[in-house]
Amino acid sequence: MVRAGTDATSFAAVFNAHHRQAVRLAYLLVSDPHLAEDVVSEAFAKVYVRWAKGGVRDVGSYLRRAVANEANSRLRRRYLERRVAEERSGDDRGVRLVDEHAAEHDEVWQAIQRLPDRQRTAVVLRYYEDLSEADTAEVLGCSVGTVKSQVSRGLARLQELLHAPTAGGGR
Amino acid sequence: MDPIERQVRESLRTRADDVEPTPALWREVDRRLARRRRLRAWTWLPVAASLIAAAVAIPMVVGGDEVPRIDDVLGTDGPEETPTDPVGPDDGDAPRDVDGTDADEAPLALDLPTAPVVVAAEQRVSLVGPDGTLELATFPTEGESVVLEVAVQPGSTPDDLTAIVVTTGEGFTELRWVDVRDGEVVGRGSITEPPLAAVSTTETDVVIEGTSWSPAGDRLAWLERHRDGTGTVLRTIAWAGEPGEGAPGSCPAVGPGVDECEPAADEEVSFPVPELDGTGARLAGWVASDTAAAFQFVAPDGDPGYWVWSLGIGTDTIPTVDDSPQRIEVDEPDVTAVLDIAGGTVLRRTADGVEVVLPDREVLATLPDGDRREIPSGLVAAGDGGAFVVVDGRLHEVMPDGDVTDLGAAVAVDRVD
Repeated sequence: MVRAGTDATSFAAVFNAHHRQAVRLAYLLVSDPHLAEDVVSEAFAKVYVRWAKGGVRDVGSYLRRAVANEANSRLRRRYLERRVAEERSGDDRGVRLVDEHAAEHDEVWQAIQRLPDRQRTAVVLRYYEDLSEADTAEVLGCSVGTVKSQVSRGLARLQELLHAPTAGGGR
Repeated sequence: MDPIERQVRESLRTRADDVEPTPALWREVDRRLARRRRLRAWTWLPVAASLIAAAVAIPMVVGGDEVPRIDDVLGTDGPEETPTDPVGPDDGDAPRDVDGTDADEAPLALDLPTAPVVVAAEQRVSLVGPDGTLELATFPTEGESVVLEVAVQPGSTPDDLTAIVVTTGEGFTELRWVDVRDGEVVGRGSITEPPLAAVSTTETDVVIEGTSWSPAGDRLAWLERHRDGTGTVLRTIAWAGEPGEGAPGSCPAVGPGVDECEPAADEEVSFPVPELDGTGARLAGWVASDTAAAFQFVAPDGDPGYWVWSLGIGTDTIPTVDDSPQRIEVDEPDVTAVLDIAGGTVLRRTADGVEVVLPDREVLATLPDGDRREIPSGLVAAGDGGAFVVVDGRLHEVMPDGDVTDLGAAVAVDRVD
């Protein structure tokens, strides 16, 4: 746990402690590395507002929730964000994809990206962040039952996609 | 763990490990933080605070559609840009203040009057408050969906909010709802199918207007104008977290002028209201007293004065209500009556604002402006790059450089501190 404080100097330390995990989570939620950076930037800015007032006891948890919510919001405007990302394609912003080729050939990852947003978010929080169903529900602002159903449907859908002929003949 | 779960976990971790943030990320975060801190420092200055207070007062007396530029109010060029010296993490230096200033010089919170509001613009519904703007719903311009009105559930707060949004597009009207919990949008939906809605949204022969919550916030009502010969219908539905949910309702007593009441389902009750066919009457509100509840409709007719008709509902007895629309005469030529809000108490608009007039014609209070659906003029919030000011029931964003943007019609939200 990172204790909240009102000294803005230490917020850079907060950033250092959490930004890598936040960017990776954002990328898994939105797929687009440029958009992931925007999501994390805005999430940190929102966290800062409350952190500066001493209102955040667990920055990591609060940031995770901010990233998930911001990602969800951005996905709804994805077509606009894609346009922005294309315009930025020539600058030095964004995250580095070490092995883009591998991502394109990861059938499971390709299937995950085809999940509905809520199912995908629930699956990522459960299996990447290793959150419990209760913690996932808290991040998503829904009931545990909703998390269970979203994850269950997500996994079922993934199995369908991985075994469908259009998915390359299954795994 | 199932094989599919193992596959998912392995894939997610592999893909995540491929991603490494760059220093550009910190620069972007730093830029956003510096912007927030600059504004806080600016608004804390005593002279700025007093001038912002003037920004509250001036719109109250100016009225009308013209919004003063903030330069005119402040007499200043706004906040000076604080040079920033972005310091990236992991660059070998100890992290410094995000905007290069001493953190103790600037407070981290505003001490200004705030009144969060839900704002309805043409393609957007937002919650605007001191913590910033939360987009509640956006609608694509390509589909030509336009927000007609918004009704916020009584008891809503900025953190826990339910708003009803009426939109029109491609020939049909649609009722949508947005749920906010703990300050985040957690749900949206549409009321699209019978019995909760009149017809499927594929139909184009019904217009919905005048959404109104019961005072307790447990039911929602609206007026339907059917073009297929059905006429005008007042529909009410239960609401407990989502439409149609809640304690089973009973068919309310039939009010004067209403010849039938046939609840299609426990969660929905509708009233044919033939008296309103072909009129311009608007559902003005759902009011309650100790003994009865009533819907009130207001219809201007072009002459000084207006018509009000109260339709009562109850469980045991038919409450005392008007058996026909009542005309409220208004003597003053410059008065446009607004609403009869309860028990003969009237809100009426004058050149000085909106007066709250008791049944004995005593003026109880004069509000700066606005009617029952609007909020008084004044400062909503200052922060995050400017100020939000309500003028004539519409929210305007006033930027430090003087630019003013009309954000749309405003609906008040309760604040629980």
